[in-house]
Amino acid sequence: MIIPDAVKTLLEEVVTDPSFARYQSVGRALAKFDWSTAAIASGQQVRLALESSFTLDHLIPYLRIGCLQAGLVPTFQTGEFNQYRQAILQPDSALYAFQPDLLFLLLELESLLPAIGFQPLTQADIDHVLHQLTLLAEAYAHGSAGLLVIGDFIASQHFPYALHAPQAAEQSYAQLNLALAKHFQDNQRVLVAGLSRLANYHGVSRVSNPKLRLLASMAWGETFLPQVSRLLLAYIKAAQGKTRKCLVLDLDNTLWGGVIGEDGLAGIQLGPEGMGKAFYAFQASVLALYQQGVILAINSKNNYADAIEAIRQHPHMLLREACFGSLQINWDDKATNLLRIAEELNIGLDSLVFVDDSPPERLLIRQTLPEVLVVDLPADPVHYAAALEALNDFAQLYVTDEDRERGKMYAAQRARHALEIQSASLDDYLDSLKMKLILRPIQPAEVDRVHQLIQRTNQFNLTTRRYTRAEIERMMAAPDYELLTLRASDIFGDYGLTGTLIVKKKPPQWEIDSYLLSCRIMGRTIELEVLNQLVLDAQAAGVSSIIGDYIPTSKNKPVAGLYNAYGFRPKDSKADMTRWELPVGDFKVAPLSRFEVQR
Amino acid sequence: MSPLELAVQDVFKKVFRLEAVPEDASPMTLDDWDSINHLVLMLELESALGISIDTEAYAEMVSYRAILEALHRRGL
Repeated sequence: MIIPDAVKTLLEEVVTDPSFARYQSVGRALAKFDWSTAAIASGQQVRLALESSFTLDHLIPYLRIGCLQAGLVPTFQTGEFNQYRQAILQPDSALYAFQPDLLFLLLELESLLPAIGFQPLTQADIDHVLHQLTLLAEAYAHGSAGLLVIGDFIASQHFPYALHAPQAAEQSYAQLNLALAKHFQDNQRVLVAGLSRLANYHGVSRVSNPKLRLLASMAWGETFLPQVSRLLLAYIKAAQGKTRKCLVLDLDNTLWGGVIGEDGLAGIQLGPEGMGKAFYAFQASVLALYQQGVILAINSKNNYADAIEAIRQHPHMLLREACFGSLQINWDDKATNLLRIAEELNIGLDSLVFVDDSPPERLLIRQTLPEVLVVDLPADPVHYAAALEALNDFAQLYVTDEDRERGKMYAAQRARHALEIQSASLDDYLDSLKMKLILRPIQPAEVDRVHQLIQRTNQFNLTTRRYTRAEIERMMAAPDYELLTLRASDIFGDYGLTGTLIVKKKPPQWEIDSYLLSCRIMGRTIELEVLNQLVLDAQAAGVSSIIGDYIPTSKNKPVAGLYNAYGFRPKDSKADMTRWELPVGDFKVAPLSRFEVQR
Repeated sequence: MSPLELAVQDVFKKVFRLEAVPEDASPMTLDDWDSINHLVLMLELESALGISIDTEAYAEMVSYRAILEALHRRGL
């Protein structure tokens, strides 16, 4: 997305002055831009609707700015005051005409339980709330393909009078929120946002500004709104495929106190004493991200030997060598290192988050690599962990088993690389991996992972069709669609579910609607064997030809020649795509002997 | 210009993105002075001047002049 200078300048204002008034005036100024001009319109659009039982106008500037900072061009629709029922239940409402990508439904409990007051909630109350929300969710699912995010409920606080049971009311709210989360757990179209958790963190007594509530029916005051915005932006970014994949870390004064090259192993601060505690806590936060599937990398100016010794040997190092997908430890400039990390891990610069204690290094990266997210790390290490935990860029809608195992895969990757260097030729290397492929119809338990692949795969993606979960499920149920998943493994380990093929059957032809492979398995001729298998299937089914489209994007040039290389011939092309055809009848499939294929 | 006037003008410039504050600034003359921004103005005045403005008084601050008068009456 090409951002006009005027927009960049406005976005800079809130970095230097993150006050409420600044966000409001900048948000308002940004709303006045003509967002339909070509340059800006090339950015990814997102349509956001908000319905609530109270006034939310001052939330919009925060969401607008957050979206633009993430490379999204938002359009908003806020419902009429407290008219959320009408908007959702009436099929011809302005809400549905708007065709939102996401609808945020943010309610106070009084709206669903008018007489609630300060009493604890009964089971009947909880059932009533769930029933009403289910009706709304079902109506919304009928009228829209978008995601519904329902905010959970914040209990108001009052002094406990029955001292033997001081938390009865709060506990019943906790029960309600738990029941709410459980109720929608398996509903792929609905997510429950943890507003009560956010309010606890912020301080429930600070959630509301009584003057604003009285004058403008605002449930949330000027200090809570930015917190809510940060949470909701996590949903927006995750739903729009803007989740970042890799955390790149400096070493000295970032992962430990001091400079390893000068202070030595015994001199750096890391562990249960003094300032070492702050760095240890920071490493614990980083480890938590690693365990959820974030890739870690190092970008440090050091002698490799000194640094790797600390990583391997320091008794309190939580992050050991195997945790890191890439280790750029050298005396080169840090921007070059980031490019190397992106290349080594086969991900885009816009997947990287950079954490470094040095303001000049951060400035260098901000200026030279604007797609990289540079964290404004506070000067005092005691605040490092909180700064990392405040990021919403790694949040995903669902975390899969693949995610949790991802970190280990990178250690295996380095082992593969060592074998590759030793092999006489690429063919020898690929043969010695003894790869196994499993290509079979999609299982229901695999939908999360397939959805993730469809949303996040950029390079090996012939058509880049970003299907929602609902669309994937519709195709699974349709008799004229075939959805296949690919699992791959080799002697070093299991790559997991790393590919998807969506075939539309239009007798006598088959059309490849989507063909994606994870960057993890590119360059291993797996893509050719998958096509072999597809052709064998087509021949067995008596199909006359297979059609495949290539829709070019800025990232999928690596597959521009795939169909041609396999043996497809160009059928026709338009300005924005080329169509390829393979007559299947006489085609001689030559299965690649290096693979063991299971169907 | 008194320190109070300077402070109030700074608030107006920030909230309404103005280079200069017209003497007759009011919801009638400034497009951006709607009910949403009125609250922003009140909050920013409170923050910049380190004061609290009564809920009832929010509705009385109907123009730049009215704001200065109200603050003068408070002895600022």
